[in-house]
Amino acid sequence: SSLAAAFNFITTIINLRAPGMTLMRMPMFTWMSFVVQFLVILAFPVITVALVFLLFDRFFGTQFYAVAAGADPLLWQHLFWIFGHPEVYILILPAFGLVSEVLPTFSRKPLFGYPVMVYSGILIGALGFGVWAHHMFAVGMGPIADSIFAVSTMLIAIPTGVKIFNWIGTMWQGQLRFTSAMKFAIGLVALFTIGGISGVMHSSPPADLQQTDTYFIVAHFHYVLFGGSIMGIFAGIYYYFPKMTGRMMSERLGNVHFWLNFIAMNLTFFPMHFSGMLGMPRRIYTYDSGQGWDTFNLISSIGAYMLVLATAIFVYNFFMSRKRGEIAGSNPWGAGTLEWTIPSPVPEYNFAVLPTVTSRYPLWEGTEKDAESARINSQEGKSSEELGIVLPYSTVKPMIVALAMVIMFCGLITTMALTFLGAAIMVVALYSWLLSPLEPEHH
Amino acid sequence: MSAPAAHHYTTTGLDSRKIAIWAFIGSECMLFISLISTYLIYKGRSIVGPFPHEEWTSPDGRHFEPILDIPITSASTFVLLMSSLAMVLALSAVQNKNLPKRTRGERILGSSKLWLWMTALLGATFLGFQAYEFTSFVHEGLTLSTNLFGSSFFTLTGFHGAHVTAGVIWLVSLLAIDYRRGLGPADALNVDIAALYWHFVDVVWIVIFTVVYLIE
Repeated sequence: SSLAAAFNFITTIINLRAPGMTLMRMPMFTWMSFVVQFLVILAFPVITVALVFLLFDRFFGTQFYAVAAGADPLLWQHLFWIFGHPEVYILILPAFGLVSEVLPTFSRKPLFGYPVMVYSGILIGALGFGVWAHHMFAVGMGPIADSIFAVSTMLIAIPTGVKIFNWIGTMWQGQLRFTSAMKFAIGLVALFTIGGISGVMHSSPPADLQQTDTYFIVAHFHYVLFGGSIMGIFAGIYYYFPKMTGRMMSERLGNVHFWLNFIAMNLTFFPMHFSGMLGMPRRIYTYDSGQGWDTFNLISSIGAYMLVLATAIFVYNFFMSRKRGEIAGSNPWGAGTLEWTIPSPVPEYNFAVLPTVTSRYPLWEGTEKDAESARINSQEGKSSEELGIVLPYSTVKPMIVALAMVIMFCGLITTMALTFLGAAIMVVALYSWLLSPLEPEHH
Repeated sequence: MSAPAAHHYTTTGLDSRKIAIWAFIGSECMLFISLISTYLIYKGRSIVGPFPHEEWTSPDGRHFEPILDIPITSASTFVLLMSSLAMVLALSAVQNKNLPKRTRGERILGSSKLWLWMTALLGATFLGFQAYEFTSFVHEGLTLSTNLFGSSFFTLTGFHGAHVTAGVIWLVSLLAIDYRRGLGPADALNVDIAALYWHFVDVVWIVIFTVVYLIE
């Protein structure tokens, strides 16, 4: 299903852009999502194969991972990490894209160095396929392999660091508004940098020999995943909630959420740098006291409980605001890109009139034609029939195909009869879906 | 396939479905690259036989010849290659459905049903060869679990065979539509997409045949 979505996004971004929307005028979130979809179609088949080998070893007696039969003990690791490393760029690039939308809006300045941000995103995606064995520095690949992957890993820090500087450049001398979305976006810039610093420390194989499989690594990836991806996702939710629901989230609660989250996140994960350096291993369920780890872990636990509280406040804010939030209008933030020209929540057809794009920030830098098309598009309450826009039929058939696939895969771990049943339902539903018309006849 | 959608504005001027099928083929390339790479990594590393290109005597005295049969597999490869030719002719017949056909030769070349049948039948013949090969290997003592060669060989060629099977089902579906309402120039894109998939599956087999059968 990740693959299916990827095919869709790639096709849409290549082929269905509005007139005048050249690639270098696209919003950064769209660009980063575009890069990510290529990572998805190239990385997911590899883990599919790795898992097929595991499944076959377990159910059909193949020898892919059977060392006694001569199998390579590293095959799983190579296949997994050839997927696994691009996967972490799949996790972070969309968050980077969201930050690149949020920071300009709340600095009232266009993104600093837009072309560089695009190229660095592409470079991160491409180089991301050349670093995977840095997860395997301790398995004994030999000095040549270690050196090659050490160098490529160090190289990938460069385009990433460039983005940090461009975000700072975006905020520099801007008119900053510290909304919840903005706080989370700035939070990502700060915390991801910390995660990146520990990350580049792992890129040296001799240093990593001490760090690997300890809590030092756990500290690193939680800074980049929580301080990076999660912060970016929260920024995106606060930013786009008005567009999706037509209402504003509570900024007061958002402020509490942010600060509680920021402090708790650091309380939870910063001490892990120290316990890791002092040798605390990963993947243990208990440990002897008196090794110097106890206080650090206690602080982490306190931080973790605080995180639960922070997240609960966010969830409450989310659902409460859906019912009682202030009405948002089409552009509550004064942002510059096209999605803010249409009503909130967004009509089914998105744009009443297909805009012609002449700049990266049509609402800030656009021509009179842009303003006119924005005026037309922001009118509420028009149905697609009134506008003469043909939409595809609604149908439950894709859901049935998806459900059938779930049944198929459940059968793989229970009984094969379920797999055949699921496959049969899937084939029938698929044919039914493909043979029904996509949209009403029109000319 | 459903009736073709009306022509909307597109950025590249290409139909979106063409772009989507190429993205799909890209992901399938990675799938087969992973399977072929594993086969290559495990080449020559099986501890026990039977082996693909050399003979082997087991500890308890049974003798095994090299198990791959290059002449027969060359024949099945030729069959699959000819199926791609038939697919090209089928697509051309669909695209040129409305052109006048005056000679018998033109009528034969212009029959989409004939060439879709030929593609499907040649594809099914290839699958028949594969089924024969798989069963004879099992009979001769090579299974999925015998050794690394058996595991990687059957998995790789099995996945390929599954893709050929899906392609044959796709072709038969197109034939069903051709019998029901006829396939004409308006369906050319759908047939083109099926053709792209079919040629891809053929190219993958060329690589597999070279890597597994021809290179020792």
